[in-house]
Amino acid sequence: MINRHNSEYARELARAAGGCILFAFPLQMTMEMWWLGFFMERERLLIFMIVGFALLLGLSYYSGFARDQPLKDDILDAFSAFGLGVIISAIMLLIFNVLATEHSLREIIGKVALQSIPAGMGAILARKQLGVADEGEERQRRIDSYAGELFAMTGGAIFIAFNVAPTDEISLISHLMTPWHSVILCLISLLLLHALVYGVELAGQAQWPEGHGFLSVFFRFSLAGYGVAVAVSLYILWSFGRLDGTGWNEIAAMLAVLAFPASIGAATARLVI
Amino acid sequence: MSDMTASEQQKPPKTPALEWIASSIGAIFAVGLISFLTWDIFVAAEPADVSAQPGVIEQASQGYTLGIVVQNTGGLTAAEVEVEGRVTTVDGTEETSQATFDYLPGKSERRGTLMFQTEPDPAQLRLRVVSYREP
Repeated sequence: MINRHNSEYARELARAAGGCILFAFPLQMTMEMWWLGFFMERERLLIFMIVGFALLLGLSYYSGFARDQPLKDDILDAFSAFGLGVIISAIMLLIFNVLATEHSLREIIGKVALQSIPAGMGAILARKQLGVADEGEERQRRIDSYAGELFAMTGGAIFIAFNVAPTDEISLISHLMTPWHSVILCLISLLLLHALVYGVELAGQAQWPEGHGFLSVFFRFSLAGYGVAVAVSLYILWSFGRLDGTGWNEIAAMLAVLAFPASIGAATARLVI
Repeated sequence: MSDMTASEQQKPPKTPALEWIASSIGAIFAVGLISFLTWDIFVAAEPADVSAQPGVIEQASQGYTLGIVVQNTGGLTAAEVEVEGRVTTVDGTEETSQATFDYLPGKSERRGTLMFQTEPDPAQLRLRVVSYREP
């Protein structure tokens, strides 16, 4: 009996490891991520680890079902996903020879720590995504509350924005763009977000009343989602030290650039979470 | 007795041992990483301290190679570390050669090579770190 449970769980772990590799390899193959691993400010890396771990817990909680046994399994899932994230990041970085024995402990730990959070997110999402869809389809998902929706948007925004946030292209693109380009990009982000909210979030939502007019959806979801996307972008840019000694016009331009992928992540969160 | 079995059936399925093991490993990593980072913030945040040491001189197909090791004994990362080697040959002429290292993290070393046309005399060799910047 115990063996059967263990073998089921082993399969689940393997699935999570697969998702971890699938979602995390772009970042593991991004050189700015390796560099940030050693030159990112340690205070910010520590804060990032704590924020990231809270995110893993939240993802684990909100991707579950409302009537499931609460918390214990969610917490265990978050820890095991984080463990997988660390192990798989370390293995991949070792294979790429980005981690080597002559590197200092600080460099090795920084590189692995930074990768472990997105990899852990991949592990959690894969467990839910690639898992067998059982009778849970009919049950109320925790994500269906407004708080759950906002959390999902935050998770989605971080998850997608993180894939490009460490690259130099964010500041390069912001240099190439004029203020007019930035304004247009903001508008496009918002429009896209709204369209995706309609297409993805509201599709097949039987329990949502019909009364959601354009303005209600626009304010409650699209604008809120863009707010989340900008806040997430600001936090990531700060974490990576991109805001230090940077003027406000430059910061605004970088926010417009990074909020674009973050918006897409926020709007499509329901697809992945 | 029948009451007991009924309440036991209400209980959630037992958490498999493997789940405890996997989660414990994750918890150990989390505590370990966060402790190390916290320790690092308070202990290892000294500025970068970069030096360069010459290594072996070897003949190459064109000229001579001098292996060099740049070391950062400080805590913070140095970027674009520029190292210059200068040798004086027997007839009094000077030859210089430079190498740039993109990133040199704290408490780390990186290796490189300087090339010279004439064979460097180790006694006449001067190696210095010219500049670096904050990342």
